[in-house]
Amino acid sequence: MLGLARGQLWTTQPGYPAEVAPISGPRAQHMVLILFLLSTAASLVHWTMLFTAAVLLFTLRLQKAAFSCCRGPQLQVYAGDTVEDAPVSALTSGAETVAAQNLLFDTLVAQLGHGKQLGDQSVNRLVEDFNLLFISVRESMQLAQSAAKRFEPDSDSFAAKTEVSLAQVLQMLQQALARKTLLLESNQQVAQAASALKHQTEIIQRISKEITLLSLNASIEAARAGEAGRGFSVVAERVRELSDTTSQAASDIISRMQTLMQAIAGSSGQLQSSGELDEQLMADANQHIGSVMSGLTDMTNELCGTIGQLEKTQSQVQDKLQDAITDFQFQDRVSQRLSHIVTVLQQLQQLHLSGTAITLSDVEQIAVNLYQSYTMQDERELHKAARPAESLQHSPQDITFF
Amino acid sequence: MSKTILVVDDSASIRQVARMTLVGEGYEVLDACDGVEALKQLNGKKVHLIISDLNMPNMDGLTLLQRVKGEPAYRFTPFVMLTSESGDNFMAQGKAHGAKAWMVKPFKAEQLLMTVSRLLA
Repeated sequence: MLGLARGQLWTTQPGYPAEVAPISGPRAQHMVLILFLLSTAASLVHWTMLFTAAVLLFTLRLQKAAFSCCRGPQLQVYAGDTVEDAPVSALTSGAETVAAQNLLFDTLVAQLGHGKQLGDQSVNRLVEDFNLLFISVRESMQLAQSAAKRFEPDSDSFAAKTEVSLAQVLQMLQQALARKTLLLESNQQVAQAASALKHQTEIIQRISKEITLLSLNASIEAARAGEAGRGFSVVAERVRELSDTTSQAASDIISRMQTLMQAIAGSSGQLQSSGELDEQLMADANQHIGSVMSGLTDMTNELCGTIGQLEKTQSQVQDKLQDAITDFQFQDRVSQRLSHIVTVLQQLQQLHLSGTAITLSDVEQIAVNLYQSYTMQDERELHKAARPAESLQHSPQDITFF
Repeated sequence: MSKTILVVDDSASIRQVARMTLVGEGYEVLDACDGVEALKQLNGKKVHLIISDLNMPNMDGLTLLQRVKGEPAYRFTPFVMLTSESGDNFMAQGKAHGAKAWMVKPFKAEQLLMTVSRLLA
């Protein structure tokens, strides 16, 4: 029913070791079953392989002990075997051997079970850890992406905003400079007005001198007129005094105007040189801002490149992590196989405990049970072929849509 | 609104791997370690897809499939078998009982996601 016809499955496969092939009978079946267990285990992870090899060794020793203590009818079952039986020795009594076998089977089952449990726990922890790692990498990738967005060369970027605010500072400086120029111009207008005023005051001074000269002539003419010109002489004297006072006042005004004009000229000069200095500062600031902006742009470009590289690496790490987590599914397969082996060991133990001779059909039944417990195609293929797992080309990852 | 997927498997590592793969794509994931717990988890809750193992203690995947398909609330909920079993007779049974797809373990993340998105489209 499962391709396990008696005497056919185990000994006639091509590629089966020549020295094993001729062996037949229950003992040979038993040995091959154990060999099969070993070959199944060969496809598991390394520690499982080692452990199963130990299982095989123990089981073989048990077999030897079992055969050596069999007496009477049981010995006759194997009388025709071509395999050399272990010598019948007086090692232990039958009951003690059975107890020892039982203990060993218990130990093997417990050890395998523990190994399976350890594997399950460790892989679960690994999956959890890898999952956390995966989440961290994804989060740091999101951070890198948002950082990269801030430095991207568009109107919203850090560099663009910096350039805009520096340009605003420059504009404010320029406005201050323009106001200074206006001040300088009005200063010059004041200077011109002062100069005109001084010129007119000089005209007044000149007129005043002429009036003084005229009053002197009038005084002379009044003296010549004698008594008749006496009153006229007083008027002429008074006119001369007024003219002197005017001349004096004009002279004062001219002198003050000169001081004023000097002050205006001084402040104009200062305004002028300060304006020139400001213009130079503006030019310098413009140049500095230009170089700062160019440095900033270079830096952000470099940063963008680095972040891009970082993103790429993180994306690769993320992919690898995902692959690694997916690969942890091996534990499920290993665990299932170990469960199957434990079941066979327990069935073998029952057989030994029953105290009766192990028959071909017993062994075959165990093999059938084992086959039926399989869930994986490669397990079945390995069972049928009883050959090393490496040569099997199983094709997982099939999806069938109904 | 994100879609909810129930993952049923007796292997904690498979549940974890499936959960991680699906949550990473924005799905909400419920999980259960066998058919009995899966039915408890469902309990009238809105679930858009069920992914189940075949061989599990207490209640296996095929029995769960039949039970779920027997409930009016979940009659049209897509059911995916995710198992190491690839025997034709098992697959035929799965199809007969209304499973939408049969995935053989081990699965690759992108394959699981492709299957899920195809069945939820």
